[in-house]
Amino acid sequence: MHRPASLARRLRVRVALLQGTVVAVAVAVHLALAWGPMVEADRDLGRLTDAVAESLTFDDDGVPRIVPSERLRELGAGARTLRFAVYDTTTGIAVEGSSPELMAALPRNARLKSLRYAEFEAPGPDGRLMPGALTRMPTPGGEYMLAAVGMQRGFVDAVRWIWAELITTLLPLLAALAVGSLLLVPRTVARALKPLDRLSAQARAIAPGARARLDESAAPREMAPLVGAVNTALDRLDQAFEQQRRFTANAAHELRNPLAVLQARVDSLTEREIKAGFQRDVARMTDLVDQLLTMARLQAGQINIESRVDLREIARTVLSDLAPLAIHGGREVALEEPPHPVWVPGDMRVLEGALSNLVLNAIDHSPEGETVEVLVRDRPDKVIEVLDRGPGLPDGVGDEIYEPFWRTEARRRGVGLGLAIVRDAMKLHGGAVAHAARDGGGTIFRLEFSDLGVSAAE
Amino acid sequence: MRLLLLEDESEVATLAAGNLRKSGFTVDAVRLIDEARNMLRGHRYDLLLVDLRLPDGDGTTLIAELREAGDAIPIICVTGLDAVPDRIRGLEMGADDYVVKPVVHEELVARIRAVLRRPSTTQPRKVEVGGVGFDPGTREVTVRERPLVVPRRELAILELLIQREGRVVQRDAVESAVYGADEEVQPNTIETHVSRLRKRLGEAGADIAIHGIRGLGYMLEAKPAA
Repeated sequence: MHRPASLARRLRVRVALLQGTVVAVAVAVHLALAWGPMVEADRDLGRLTDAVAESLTFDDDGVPRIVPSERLRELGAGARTLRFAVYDTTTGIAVEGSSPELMAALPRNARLKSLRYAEFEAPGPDGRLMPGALTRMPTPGGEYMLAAVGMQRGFVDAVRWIWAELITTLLPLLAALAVGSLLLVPRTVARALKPLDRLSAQARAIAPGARARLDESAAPREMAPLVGAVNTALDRLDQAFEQQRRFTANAAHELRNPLAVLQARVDSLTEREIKAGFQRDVARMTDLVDQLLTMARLQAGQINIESRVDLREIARTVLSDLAPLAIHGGREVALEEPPHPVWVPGDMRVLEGALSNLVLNAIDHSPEGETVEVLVRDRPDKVIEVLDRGPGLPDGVGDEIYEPFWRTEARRRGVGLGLAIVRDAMKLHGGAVAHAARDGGGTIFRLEFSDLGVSAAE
Repeated sequence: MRLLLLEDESEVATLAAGNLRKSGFTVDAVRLIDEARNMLRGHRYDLLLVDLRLPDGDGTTLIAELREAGDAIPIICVTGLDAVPDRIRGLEMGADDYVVKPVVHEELVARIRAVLRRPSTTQPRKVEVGGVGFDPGTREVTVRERPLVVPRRELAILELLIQREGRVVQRDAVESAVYGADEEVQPNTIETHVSRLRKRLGEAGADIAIHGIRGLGYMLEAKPAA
């Protein structure tokens, strides 16, 4: 079955992802701004150079001058910080319309004859260094060098400037935040989910019929609706449980009274043989009622689990009770137990009842002279075993023996509810009952107590 | 012996009262808690039999009332309510015993006798099983009316087992009866003592069996008549 991932894990992963994304975006922006503007400047300079080139004209006398074309005017419009100059490569004389400031700022080697293209930096009108480009331009009127400086002071510029300011102050803060949250997020998530652990512990401790509820005031607002809903469900379950409890109590009362009448009538008989027969009948009927009521209570979960009972104590009590019966029937019983207590959480009476049923069965099925052995073990698992030397269960018989009213043909007494009661009792204890053929003949029944199950409710 | 029977099912009441009378008790039967109160005010009873579920309330309230008023009258709950919490409630309120319906008449009589005897159980009476007599006061043993000398440790075992005739006495209990707290119990010594005791009693002509139950303890009983 697919199990949804841990909430805490999901929160931690999401926060880490978010942080990673923020850092990645920051790095990307930074890189983009570090390289991006140069690209833009290049493009600007290219356009500027082109515009200047097309603005270079010669009059009828062959004297060059710059007559700003429409494109150059457009580029120069507004808050532009561009300058341009054109000079004769041989004379170094600037063409009319050139910027004197740019001419003055041109690097010395800009006049080299061999130069075809160069990039340089020159102060713009605001004094800040700006990228510039020198381009050799052959014309019909001779060779000229074309210098252009500046770039559009547009949006990207503004962003880069703000970013540069921000990054210096924010970077340490961002780094601290990142490291801090990496350290703190898991703890914060764990703390935020703590109420869930508490509520789970409370829920585990709720036994059938206990009036306990989950503490709604301890639940954060987001969990409160769930907790409330669980409590409402528990209310309904309690009602059903209470109804069931009343029903079995009433059933016990109503079933036992007519039996009491019958018993009293039988007891008042004087004819010994008739009396004995009726007494057996009433006893059988009483057995059936007892077993049915026990069964009804178990199936309704009406038990009182104590935090620990000693399996040895249970075995001793049951064997002490049943030893006289076995001995009078010519059988023996024996007990084997470890020298120290074997604790399990459980309902002593219910477990005694379950073991009693197994031992009674074993005595019933044992031939005369045989011994019914009861073993209490705590390793590797906590178990009670009941071993007999009876005829064994019929071949091919499986777990249907634990169904109510299942009986072997050879069965002499009992109403067929014993094993069903054992099974239900063990289920309520988070354990199980199992059986196997015994080496050398007979049957082994084993009450298995798992360490999980009810012990979590301690 | 005068008993008050508080039982609302008239048929049960009539039949039970009849059987008890045949067994030699004087019995008054009432249906309601209120009637029981009146009867208890006007008469002296040796024992009270109470059903828990009654038309005018819960029988345990009457038990609690009586105990609060300092009345020590022996009380046995006889009821169809058999859930463990019901039993515990009855006993907590101060009932001396609790039996679940239907109860075999002989068992009820035995319980009544047991409860009536209880205050005097501090002085155990002389017991006799299978021809073996034991007097707890003098700790003398007789077999077929003839005194028998039994060594100290065997006597301690016999004393314990004979007083719990027909019931299993667990090994721990036997050990602590035979040995003091500071004495070290050797394995198998108890078994040795029991064997000797069996032999001694058998030779003296007692019809007694001491069953050893492996891993659990011992049980003494009269040998079934052959």
